[in-house]
Amino acid sequence: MRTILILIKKEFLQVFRNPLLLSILIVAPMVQFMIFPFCADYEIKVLDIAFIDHDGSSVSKDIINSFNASDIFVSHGIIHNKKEADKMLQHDKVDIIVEFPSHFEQDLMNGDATRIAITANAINTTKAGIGVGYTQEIIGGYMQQFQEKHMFVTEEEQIPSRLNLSYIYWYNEQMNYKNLIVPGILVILVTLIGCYVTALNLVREKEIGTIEQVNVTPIRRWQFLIGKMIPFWILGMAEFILGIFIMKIVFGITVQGSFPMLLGITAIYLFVMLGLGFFISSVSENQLQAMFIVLFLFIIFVLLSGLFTPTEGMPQWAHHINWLNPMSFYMTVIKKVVLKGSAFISVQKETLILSIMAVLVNTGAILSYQEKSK
Amino acid sequence: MKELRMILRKEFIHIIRDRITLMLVLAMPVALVLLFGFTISADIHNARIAVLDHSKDSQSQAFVRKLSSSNYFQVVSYPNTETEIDFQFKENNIKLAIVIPQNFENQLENEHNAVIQVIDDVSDLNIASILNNYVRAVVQEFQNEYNKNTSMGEPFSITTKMMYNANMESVYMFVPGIITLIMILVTALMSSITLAREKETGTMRMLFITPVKKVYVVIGKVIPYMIISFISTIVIIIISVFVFKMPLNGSILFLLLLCIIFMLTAASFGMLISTISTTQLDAMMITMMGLFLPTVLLSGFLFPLNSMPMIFQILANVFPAKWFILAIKDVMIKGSGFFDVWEYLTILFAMAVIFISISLKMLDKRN
Amino acid sequence: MNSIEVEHLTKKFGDFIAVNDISFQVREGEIFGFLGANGAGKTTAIKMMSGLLQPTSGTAMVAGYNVVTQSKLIKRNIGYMSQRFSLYNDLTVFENMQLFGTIYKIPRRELKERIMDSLARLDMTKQANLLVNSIPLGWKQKLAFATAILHKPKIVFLDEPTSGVDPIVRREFWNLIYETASTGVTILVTTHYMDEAEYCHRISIMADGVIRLLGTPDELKKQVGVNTINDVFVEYVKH
Repeated sequence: MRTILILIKKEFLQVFRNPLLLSILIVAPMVQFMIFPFCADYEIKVLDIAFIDHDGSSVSKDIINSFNASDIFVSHGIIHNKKEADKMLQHDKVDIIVEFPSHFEQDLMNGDATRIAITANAINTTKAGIGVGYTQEIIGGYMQQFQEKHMFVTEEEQIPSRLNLSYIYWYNEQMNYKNLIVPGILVILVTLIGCYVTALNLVREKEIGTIEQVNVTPIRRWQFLIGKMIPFWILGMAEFILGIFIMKIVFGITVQGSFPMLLGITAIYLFVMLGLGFFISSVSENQLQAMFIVLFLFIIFVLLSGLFTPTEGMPQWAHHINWLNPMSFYMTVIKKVVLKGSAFISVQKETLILSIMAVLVNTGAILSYQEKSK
Repeated sequence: MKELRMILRKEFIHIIRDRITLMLVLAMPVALVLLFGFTISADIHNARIAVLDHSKDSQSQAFVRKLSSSNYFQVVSYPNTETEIDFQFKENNIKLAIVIPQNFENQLENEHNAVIQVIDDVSDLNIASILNNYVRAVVQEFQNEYNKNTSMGEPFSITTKMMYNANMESVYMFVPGIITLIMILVTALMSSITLAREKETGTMRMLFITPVKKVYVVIGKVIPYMIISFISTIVIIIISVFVFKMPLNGSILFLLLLCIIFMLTAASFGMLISTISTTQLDAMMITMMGLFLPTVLLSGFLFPLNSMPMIFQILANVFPAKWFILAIKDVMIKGSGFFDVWEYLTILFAMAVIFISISLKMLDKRN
Repeated sequence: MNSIEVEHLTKKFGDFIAVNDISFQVREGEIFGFLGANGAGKTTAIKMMSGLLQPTSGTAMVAGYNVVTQSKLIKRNIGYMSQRFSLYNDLTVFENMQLFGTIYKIPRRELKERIMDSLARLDMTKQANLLVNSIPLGWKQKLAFATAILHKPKIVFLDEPTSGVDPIVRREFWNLIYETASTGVTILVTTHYMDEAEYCHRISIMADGVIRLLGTPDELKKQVGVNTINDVFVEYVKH
């Protein structure tokens, strides 16, 4: 016990004497919380649009005006020819171009077929999809009203029926994207502390040689590992609690579910990440290798966890790989407990899986560390 | 020059000796591109939804059929109350719920107006907004068909053309992003970390005692990693063109020139970082916070830049990634040439010059 | 009585034979020098004797324990000072000694006394609360030695303890070694300073993983027919 305590003390002393590491531990969460929620936002809030109007009638002008009235579209006015429009698309000046054919109004009035053309820059598929959707909605809405007014319909059933949508937003009434991303940052924060810092820690001792002096003492491997793990576990938990505070004070997001339960599951998740960090540390020869492996895993974890990209569109095998991804289970727990207020029964599967992972990974870390030091 | 050659030789020996790292550095980009390519997709297929049908008449059933026959949705549950919907959401069983009002058929037929309620789980706003878009499409289609039966139909139509990416492939967006990330990781991160390693293990002191110019030591560190990252970039381009059918409409030579200029910018950033950090952990953390994170967040490849608060849109201009992504996208997809993207190139080049001169100043100071 | 008995000790790394079938004994309280060029196998041999590396074949008894089966017990009874300085640079002198003393389970109160004693002997009492990073290399080496003997081991392995330090510190360092040996502690030291070899009771010269010569400095000089150990080494390298 005394051995482990002195090791913990040593680790803390080292952390607190490294001003850069310390400032990163404190500044990193601040920075992440200040930048991420504002930048990591997929919501398309601005769409640049321009029009080619071969008709120049009151109808086409009305439609153009209804775009001006919308919040999301920024109109770049009327362009006179197609060539210019293409150039605007090529230079990313506009996202969408709407082209009205000549005799548009006349054809409409006569009931002749006529056609509006939408051209979208589709390199960003999400933006294009949503942009085209909104454009169609605005034009469609206008046309509906137009038909009702001008079609001179006499018979009742000739009136076209409208099917409208109303939206109800649950679990995030203000439709705040930050509510999704902020808990995600918590996950990233805990993962970075857990995995990154520890992965580099042990291998650094190897690289600068201090581990040799420790290896020659009668200390047991697991004692040494626990002595390293506990300080970073405490730091990780402290970071998590700090994160929860920032979340509440800055973003007004409170944990809907049970906070002690959340802490408990976070504790388990941290052990998975710490174990993984030490495992990587003991199999790599230098910090560079350790860093690359961690970074690689980290990117994959984040990618598959569905924080930045929807996992729904992924192929089946990617979902299978996700069974090995602790971050995705933890992300699920965070989303459920923080935003939806789920009870333990809803997250017991995740908790169980994370616990199994914690045991396996840490056994692996101790074994591989023993293997190496022979 | 001879000194530089000597340093370069030493560096290459280091790199080749540490075979595991070399393999990681070369294999990681390939693995990442393949993984991103096969998994990232903004499209959602067969999203699990619930339908709460208060009418259960022929039109409401027709609407539900319309929903399930689309590729977008898969109706997995028919709850009877909103509480049940809440439960399904909490279990993560469904992504969206649709509530059809009472007398749906009647409303459509006689009042010519009906409202369908969409309940979004906006704890994942991302998915919610994509799914809403799909619902809109289904509703539009349903409405058109319905009106075809009852009225004269619509005399006008809308055609849509998806420029530059007719098949709506997500790769078009992320390949430029991945190339950028890899180049930054390999060039800036590796060179700054290996420099910090020499400081940490004390070998740097030995080198600085010798009459070799400090600048050479630093340049000698940077060049090998530029070469490695150049190789990676070429491999990524080959994969994205042949595996993911990414177009390469511009000139290949111009594309490579563009990459070299960006690498120079990334390398100069790495130099700058290495002059201020003393341990590998420092170098890594500074690169992560100062370069990697801004690249992911502020380069516009994952998140739309013009939807961000103004301050971040301005901040984004300071980081090289934004300019490079703009340029490489134009060259690869739109087939732009030098005169279309010269502004971006100039900015990148100017950044490299600034970073290099600052780090040279810093190096001199340490003398 | 012998405190180290090495029999046919061999270590292979793949095809490379780092230590090839070496055998020798070291008596209690003896200062035994391990000489040889870099890469001769000295460090590998020391690492096997101190339980850091498992031998490929052969065996050694250190402080009465078998290196293959009882490495835990060996570690309790030896001190080790690595070729590279391997104390924590970001801990203070006192914290380093406290850390290792505690790992060796020296009782708290006694530990403090011992640390203060040995710092006094090194004339480093004032530096107790300085970060190791900030003290000169020579002092660091003395500190590493003091830390290695803090738990009163029966045997101390010193791997190139004086490389890179100035002659005055080397002199002081050897005084420390003598002082320690006089209390009955066995010392096994590797070096490539030939003048230091003269201070040893007995020396062995290793090359290519094999012990080529073994005996007291005088014996070896007589055997080769030269006046200094340096000459012995040069003469021997010629062959």
